[in-house]
Amino acid sequence: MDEYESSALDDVFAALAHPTRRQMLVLLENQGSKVTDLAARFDCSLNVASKHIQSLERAGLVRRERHGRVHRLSLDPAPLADAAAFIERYRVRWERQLGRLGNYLDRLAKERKTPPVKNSRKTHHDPDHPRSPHRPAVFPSGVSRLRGLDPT
Amino acid sequence: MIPTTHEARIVRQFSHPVSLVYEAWTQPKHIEQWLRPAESIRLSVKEFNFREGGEYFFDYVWADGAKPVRGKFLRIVPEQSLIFSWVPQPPDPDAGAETMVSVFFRAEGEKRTEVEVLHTLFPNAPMCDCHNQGWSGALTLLSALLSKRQHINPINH
Repeated sequence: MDEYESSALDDVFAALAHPTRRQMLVLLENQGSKVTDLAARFDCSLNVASKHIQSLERAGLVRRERHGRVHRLSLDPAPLADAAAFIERYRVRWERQLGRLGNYLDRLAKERKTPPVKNSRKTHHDPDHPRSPHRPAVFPSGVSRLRGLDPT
Repeated sequence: MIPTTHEARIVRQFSHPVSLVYEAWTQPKHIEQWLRPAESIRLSVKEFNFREGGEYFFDYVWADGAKPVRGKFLRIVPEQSLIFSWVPQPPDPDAGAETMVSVFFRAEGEKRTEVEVLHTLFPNAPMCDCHNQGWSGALTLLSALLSKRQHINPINH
């Protein structure tokens, strides 16, 4: 089923990047077509249409069968499996990364609740108005603080 | 195993204020600590020009070799969203694939934050507004073709 062996994801997406080529795929989706018939559907020269078709063939999205002088084209969605595999790989990767982010945030928040001695100077913080936009927070210089990290 | 969409979507809640979560996403010293799929994979942030249009370079070292990533910050809305391109570099076998990561931060009260990550594939097109229509069209087509493929060859989960 998957004769497509290259991992050239970029060829697939380069091929999909042009509206004419996408339109060609849509036309080929339902039934195959002769090269000349397909080209005739577009407002461009046969030469330009051929270039688009070659781009689709390079990506493996279109196959060409030769019957004498007649070349027939058909759609092959198999290369899209590579795209699908890439997506799945990144889904797993983000799951792990966000898991690590959760642990890291827990650690970071804990560290900041018990700041090192040199930063332990009391800040001028009004607990009744922790985030009032009319009272911009002013902190003593040298005290490194971040908005929203108040231990409430 | 073949998904029918063109993107990986992950949503996760953190019991921390959005300011802290956003900080962890936007400072290299934090990013180096967590933006790794495993403890054994090392990351050093070699470049981090954090402004819209600025670039970053993440030097990842996996057990089987270097898999660096380069990208550009496309949109920065503090404590709300980050959108950046994510382009694997050689010798990563995925090199050449241009992808995009969108991160949405949603404050849920003072102490909770929901983060949504969308990792999207898109074609090698110059990135500007005039191409948005182009690649969203490509993605719609990709989704359609993938679901058609799944229909033809049902995948057992």
